[in-house]
Amino acid sequence: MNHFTLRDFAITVGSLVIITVAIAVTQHRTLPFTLLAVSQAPPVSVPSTHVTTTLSDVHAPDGTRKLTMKRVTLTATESAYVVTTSDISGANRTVLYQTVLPVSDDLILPPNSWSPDNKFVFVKITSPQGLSVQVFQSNGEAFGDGQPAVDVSQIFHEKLPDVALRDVTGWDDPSLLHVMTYAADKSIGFSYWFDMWGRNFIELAHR
Amino acid sequence: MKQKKRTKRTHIPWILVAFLLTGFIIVVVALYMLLFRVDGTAYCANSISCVNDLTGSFQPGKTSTFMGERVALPSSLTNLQKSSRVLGETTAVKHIYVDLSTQTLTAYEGSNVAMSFPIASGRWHPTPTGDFHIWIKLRYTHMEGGDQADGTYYNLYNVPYTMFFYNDQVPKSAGFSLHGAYWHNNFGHPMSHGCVNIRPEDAGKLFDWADPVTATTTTYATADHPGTLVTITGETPDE
Repeated sequence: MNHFTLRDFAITVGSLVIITVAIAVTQHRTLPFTLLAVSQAPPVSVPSTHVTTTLSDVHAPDGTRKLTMKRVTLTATESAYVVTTSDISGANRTVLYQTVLPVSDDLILPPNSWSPDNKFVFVKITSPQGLSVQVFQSNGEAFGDGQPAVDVSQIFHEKLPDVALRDVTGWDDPSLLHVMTYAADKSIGFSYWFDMWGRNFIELAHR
Repeated sequence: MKQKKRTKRTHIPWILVAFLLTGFIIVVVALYMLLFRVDGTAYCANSISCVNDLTGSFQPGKTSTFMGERVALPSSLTNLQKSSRVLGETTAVKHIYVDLSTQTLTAYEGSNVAMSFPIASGRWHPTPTGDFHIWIKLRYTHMEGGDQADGTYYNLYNVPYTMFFYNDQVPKSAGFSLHGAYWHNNFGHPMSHGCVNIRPEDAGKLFDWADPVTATTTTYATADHPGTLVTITGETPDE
């Protein structure tokens, strides 16, 4: 007859503790909205044994430039993203944004990323916490306040606390982002313009 | 002495004359409105410019305005080249389909898809549905319309790759067209005053592909070289 010894008990408990700690560590993550300035963030190192996947290119409307995103699988639970702009040929590449996201999150290049004058691009990050929308200057330069990007979603939550961000679809003009919302009762809400210069939201008239 | 026979004159009361005249004017006005109205609303897509600029020529030095902002023509659109296509290059039947529900355009050559891409149809005025033919292709044109009062006014020079279309219900004078749009980038969503807006990169490809083959800055469809059929269906999403 086998007896469960004190040694067996210690091994079992120890294993459970290790597994629990490992799960806790992998589940802990920073907010997906945290940005690393290009100048501050260390380059994301890509082990050569990992698969590099170019996920998407989005052309500027006039076809002269493109926005490119590369995703590198780091582990089973995390991927690194690098977003760049370049000429349509791939020359004159500029890194706009680098980040590491858990698999529950996704970085998307919308089809209407580019402002019609090619001055700005926006990306979307989806996560269980919601939608994050970041606007960059396509030349990689910081904005006047020294920030590398404008966090449209953060400003939205500050200025329109009674509605929820549904989507940002594109540029209604060179500096106006088209923003769609949910009302407080979860029905489709009004659409807004986000004014890049004034950093404010303008409610749109319905058709 | 014979008395001169007086011819009897029929006197029409003035009130009857006025009534008949008024009725005639009403009928004429109603016929005019019937011929030129589109879906019971304004009859010209670009309410100010309509189809006034058919030169197809580039206008240098002009400043465009869209919703209160100046808009610059991208440098890549300042020198559009003539098409390299020739007559008789292909015999497959060409057909353009615009689906307002999905905001997409698909161009067919026979049964093959030649190209497909998102568009932006009417937000401030509905894009008409039905079967149409392209009647003129313009390398550049001027479009002006909207309303200053509600902030929708626009005055856009050098609109690239314009193809006006028409049918029996939507006359040429109504000025609906497929054209490139360089002042916004929200394709896949309704944006226009009735026209079908297309990304300039896509509009250029469609312009070169569609009939009639473009010979100069302005090309009219003829009986020998008819314009490509355009079918517009669906319902614009309420966004």
